[in-house]
Amino acid sequence: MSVSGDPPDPRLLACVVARELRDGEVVAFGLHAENLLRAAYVAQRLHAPNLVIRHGLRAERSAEIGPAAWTDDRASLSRGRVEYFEAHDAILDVANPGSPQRFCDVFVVGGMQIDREGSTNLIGIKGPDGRMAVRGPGSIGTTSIGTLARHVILFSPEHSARRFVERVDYVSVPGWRRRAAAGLGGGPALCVTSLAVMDFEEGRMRLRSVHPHASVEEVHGRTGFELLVPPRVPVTEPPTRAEIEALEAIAPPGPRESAGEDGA
Amino acid sequence: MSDAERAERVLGLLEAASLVHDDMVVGLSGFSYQNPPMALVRAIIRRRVKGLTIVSGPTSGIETDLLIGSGAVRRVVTAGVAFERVAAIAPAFRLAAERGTLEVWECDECIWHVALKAAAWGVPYLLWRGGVGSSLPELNPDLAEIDVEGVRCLRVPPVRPDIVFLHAAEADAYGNVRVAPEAYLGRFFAERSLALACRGPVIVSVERIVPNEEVLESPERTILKGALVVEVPWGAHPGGVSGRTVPDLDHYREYAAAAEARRKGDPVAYQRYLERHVYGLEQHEDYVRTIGIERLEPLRMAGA
Amino acid sequence: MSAWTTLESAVASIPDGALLGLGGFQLNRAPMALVMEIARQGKRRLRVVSVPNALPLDLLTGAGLVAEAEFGFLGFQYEGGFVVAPNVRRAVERGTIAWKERDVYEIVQGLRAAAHGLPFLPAPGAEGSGYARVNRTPTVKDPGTGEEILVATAIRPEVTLLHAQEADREGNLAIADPYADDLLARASGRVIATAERIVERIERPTIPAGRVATLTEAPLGAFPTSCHGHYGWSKAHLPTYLALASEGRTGDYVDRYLRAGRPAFLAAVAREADGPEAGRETSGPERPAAVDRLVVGMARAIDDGDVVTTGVASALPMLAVALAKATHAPRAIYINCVGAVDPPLAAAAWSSVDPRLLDGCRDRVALPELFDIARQGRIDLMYFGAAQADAEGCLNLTCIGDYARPKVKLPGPAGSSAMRPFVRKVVVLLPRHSTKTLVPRVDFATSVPSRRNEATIVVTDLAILRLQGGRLRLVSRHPGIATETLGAATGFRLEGDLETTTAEPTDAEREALRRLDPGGIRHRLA
Repeated sequence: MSVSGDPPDPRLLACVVARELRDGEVVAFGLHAENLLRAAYVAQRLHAPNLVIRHGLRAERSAEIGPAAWTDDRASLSRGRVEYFEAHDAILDVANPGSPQRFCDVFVVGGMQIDREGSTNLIGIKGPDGRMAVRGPGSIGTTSIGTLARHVILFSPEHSARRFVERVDYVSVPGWRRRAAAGLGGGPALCVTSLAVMDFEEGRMRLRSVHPHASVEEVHGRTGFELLVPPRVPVTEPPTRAEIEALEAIAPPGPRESAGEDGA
Repeated sequence: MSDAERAERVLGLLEAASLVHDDMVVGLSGFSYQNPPMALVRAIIRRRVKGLTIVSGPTSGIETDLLIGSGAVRRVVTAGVAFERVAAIAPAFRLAAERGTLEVWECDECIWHVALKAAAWGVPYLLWRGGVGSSLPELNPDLAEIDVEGVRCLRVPPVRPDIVFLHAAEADAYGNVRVAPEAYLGRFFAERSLALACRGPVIVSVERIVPNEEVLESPERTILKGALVVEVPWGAHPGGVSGRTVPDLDHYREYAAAAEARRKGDPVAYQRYLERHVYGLEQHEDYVRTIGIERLEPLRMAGA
Repeated sequence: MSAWTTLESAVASIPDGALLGLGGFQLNRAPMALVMEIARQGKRRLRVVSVPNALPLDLLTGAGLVAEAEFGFLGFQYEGGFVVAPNVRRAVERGTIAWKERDVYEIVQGLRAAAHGLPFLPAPGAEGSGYARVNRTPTVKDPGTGEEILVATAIRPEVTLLHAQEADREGNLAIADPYADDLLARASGRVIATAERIVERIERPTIPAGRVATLTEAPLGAFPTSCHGHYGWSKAHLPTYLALASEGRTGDYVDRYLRAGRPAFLAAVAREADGPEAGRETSGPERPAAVDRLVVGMARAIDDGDVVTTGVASALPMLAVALAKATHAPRAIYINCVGAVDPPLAAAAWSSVDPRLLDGCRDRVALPELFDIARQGRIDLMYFGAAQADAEGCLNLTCIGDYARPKVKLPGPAGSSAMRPFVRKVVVLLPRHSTKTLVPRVDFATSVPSRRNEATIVVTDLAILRLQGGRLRLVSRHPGIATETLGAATGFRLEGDLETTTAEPTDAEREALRRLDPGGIRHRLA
């Protein structure tokens, strides 16, 4: 059991997210979320051949090889299956509910803080005096897309009480309660972390499964609020044979950037 | 009008930088590590202008952070400032915001685009449904949350840059700006959005100026016309140029470490960085020499 | 991804009563194959919205299939002259359809609102025009300033019909002359498209496959309107249609041409489809000296370096721009409303909306962007037409008589009521100076002067007038026109400079006109 909460099997999170992606959907997430890109490619290979990946301005229908790191000069062999938005302001499409060409169906997003109702925070952390003591990067693309997309999956490569708080200090993407207050309804569907998978019941985060290397107690201890725990909590299924083969097939050769924080 | 009669639109780097004055609203185009107009930014910093409002996007990185760290910026209008995985939060931006010396026009990428569109469309405001239920209206007094026929929206006012700077692969002398044939993440980002919203000149630094005939041969690569052009090879360094060069991540790390040290109370490394890469140089050629061509050449993408 | 289907199935999927959007612009690339199939199937109670593109609306109206129509301009210029869509005009004058006329800008903002999932968007500027009143255009208090400003309610067509030059197997569309089709597609629930031909793969689609619900390969799918790069306006068939439509015999047209289905139609008219080079003539009575003075008068209003634009039905103003650029204003920048910036203006044409203007132009703008450019104060000069101008400089392109049941329905504002408030120099072309055209008070104020205008000039075949102190005054009389003649020809008391004679066209101007219009097309346009 590692102190930081990193999973011993780094492939598990990619598989867990892959299982939640449905065929025919459009999935979007931030740049350089290599693990999420991996998850999307696995889903395409296994059960969602028509999954479309929105990455930068690309919409990728399938890949012959793994995620061509954008810093690399390896062009994707999947050129025939890639479409581009014409320009970045096409993300405003996310607001057009009637449009058959939606920006995305499911948005995978994280934050410096995530709270009990599934709100995220990339704006900043308050100090003891109630003013912003830590300036975060900013909400980037998350606020509007996280509000207007059909489904939101929260994602965090680490699980700690500092990140999982009762109430976020500032709201980038509103969760269940705030959406209700804004007249929107709905909320994030899932939260996937290095320790567990959570869903929501009546707008409150609830444990759905615990990863093989972790325990319910550990999840409790590392969550800064009262997590709803059902009477029986299954173990997250480890990567299956098919998933492992898919991951190996898409793994890019050569050295990668040092493992840092993935996810948006 | 024949080609001969069309005015050439080529400027020198210093000339371009001299168009920026105190308190101007300056648009900068960049996406992830791609295409920050760094040579222009360094030349602007050398002029010691103050009080700038920087409108950068769709994502902001080192170009914005360096301007902030050098003390030139009063306010940023941007969805976020970060260097991807090198620095999840841009350090000079973070320091200035925490100190209260930098005003942040809190928004996300969509609201940023909508504000530029309001300027481009010449309307007093636009409406947008994203941001309702978030902290944006609370933190940004320009974004009022209003009820529109039962739908909660934000009222987004126009953001109109006085001048816009961007970096691209190539242009011809007549201001036709174009991208490399391969562009992994996308062809256009916010270049056109910024240009349409701008009330003044759009200046583009390019890796090289190409003949007009070349531009006409592949017109699909042209992303902007009528720009003022500055030829600055390696003008985006340490950023990459889409389809041409990869970013110099070691340089990003060096800058980030220096800026982070300054944030934590030790300004020496950052001061040295500014001396070595900005103030101690007069021309962009000096910068290229300082970095070293043996370090730059390996950044070229194969076939580019 | 889109579904390939037959014309019949595609149209069968359109419900009666649907709100239909129509792609194309001013006899260019109208989705005629689809519209003809709609007429053949007899879809009813349709509600139709378009940016100016009156022919398909006219056919549907004449066939009795339209319950409601929203339009900005009903006129079109063709070989035989200029006409207001006959069926729509009759329906409006008789009150047999529900209709709403509005400036094209309002339609653009309404479509943009729908594309952004919003109930409306601000569309201020044309407060002084009569449309705000007759349409009861809603205003909303701007929460930022407290001001009441005009807004455009969202327009969300259930179905938009488009004809594209090319489609690929996936359903991506490539359109050589897009006009506002992209915006229509984004605002609509679904797009039903036809394509002139299928190609291998479209790398940068004008409209991506994701927006196209059904697709049909339909050669001559825009006929008798043009399809840029494939064929021009039909010299023979347009007059055939117009002759029947003007007589109220659209039913005969449907029976004769459409009832037997598409293959029969194509066989009957295939000979009538002209090659891309056709469509360069027109007909009408000639007044060479008068017309030349009109063109020269308009040209002289341009200062070198001005950004100039023209709207629909503006062939003479377009020639004036060419003249100015060839003589005293070589650096003027011309934006034509098909979306061409500095098109090559080597030879005169009778249409100012010829899509061939897009070939070889220096840059392109989308049709909706013309309004944005004006609103940013970037248009120095624009030419306007009018059926009536009054003493205070108001222009009427809307109607003679009462708006709701006009005696004569005029073509409509196009973009004039929204553009005029933002243009620096307003130049009005009034080819026939008479008490019918220069009236004390217009029947309807399509557009009105604005304090943002620096100058408003009216160029007629008798004189040049200018708005001064809130009133049109005489600047110069043309040579040979007596003061009394002028007085008798003006419906209000015309004051001003009675002494100055307009300078005749110079040798340079004459020479340039000869070069630009060797065939004298201009003399048949007024």
